[in-house]
Amino acid sequence: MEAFSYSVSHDLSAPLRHINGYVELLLIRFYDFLPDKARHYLNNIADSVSQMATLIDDLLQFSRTGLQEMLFADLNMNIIVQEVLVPIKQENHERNIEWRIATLPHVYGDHAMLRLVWTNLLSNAVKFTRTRGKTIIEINVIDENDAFIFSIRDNGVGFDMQYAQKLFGVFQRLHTNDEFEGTGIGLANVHRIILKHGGHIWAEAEPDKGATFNFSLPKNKED
Amino acid sequence: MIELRTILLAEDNPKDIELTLEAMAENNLANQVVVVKDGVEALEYLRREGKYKLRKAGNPCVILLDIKMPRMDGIEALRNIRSDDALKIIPVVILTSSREKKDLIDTYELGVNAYVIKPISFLQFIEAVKHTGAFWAVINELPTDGRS
Repeated sequence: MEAFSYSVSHDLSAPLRHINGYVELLLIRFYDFLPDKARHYLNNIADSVSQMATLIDDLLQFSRTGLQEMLFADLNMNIIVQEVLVPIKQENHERNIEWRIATLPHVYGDHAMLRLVWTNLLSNAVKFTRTRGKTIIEINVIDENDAFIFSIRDNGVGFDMQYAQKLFGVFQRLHTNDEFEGTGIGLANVHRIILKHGGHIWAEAEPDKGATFNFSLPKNKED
Repeated sequence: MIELRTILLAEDNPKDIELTLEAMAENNLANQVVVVKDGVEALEYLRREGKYKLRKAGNPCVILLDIKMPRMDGIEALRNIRSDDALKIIPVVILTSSREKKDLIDTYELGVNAYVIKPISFLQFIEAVKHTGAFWAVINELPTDGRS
């Protein structure tokens, strides 16, 4: 698997980089000489390339999550969420999003991995509310005896609960790329990370009425 | 007029070579770029051996080194450069598509000066080349320069 991911990062991304390089060179150097159709074709090639690049990155990330050793530490979830929100807010500054974020506890976990969990879940919440005039995203936590249960609730497009099982599978998507872009790896990765922490993840939703993603993290028993 | 310093680019893939030179051209980086196809040829150039026997003496201002190359890869080339008294002070920048931690650690342990991952986006690559080129080929002072 090490060798595989190494080979993926080297051997698959190089030709992709080349395609992208030449497409962008064509656009930079010869834009004015190209008929509209040709520009359109080049833009589509560039789109597909960037989609494939994301796919390779996500796959690499996913295979790394499987291998990576966990570095457990005491983590302040408030700080992680705030850190993760900075780029998300930046990328979506033109959107009308109300963030309702509860005070979150400290947990015992791997910093980089839990960051990835929040990045994925919050980016998803932002993504699947894109069609809404006003977006509301709520982050809450419930203190159970031996675990914390975190939830991310949005008022987005939601999904049909009959597909809830499929959500966390690799390459599983509930939307077409035209509706919402994605590789179908994000939630599989989140699932893997939460399991590695000894927790669970599940989702509740209704089409057009938003979705709630919940994950539990066991408390550190030594505390 | 200050003589522009030479950049040594060690890269085996012809498309990567072309795209790197194009990215330099986009940035109006006018330094002479000598291209070698692997570690063996890089060392021949640096040591003025083989087909480089007759080249003018002097080290490049920076070596842009790919990792995965035939015959001798970038890491081996770097090891040779750092253990050669005549070459060890030359700045070496790894220019690679590898994000592997192992490559990062290995090259830093061998005393690499910088490690640049080639972005997939060519526009970002142009930016990366701009900064790398401007710093190592223009801004950075070398002990052997004698230009001040």
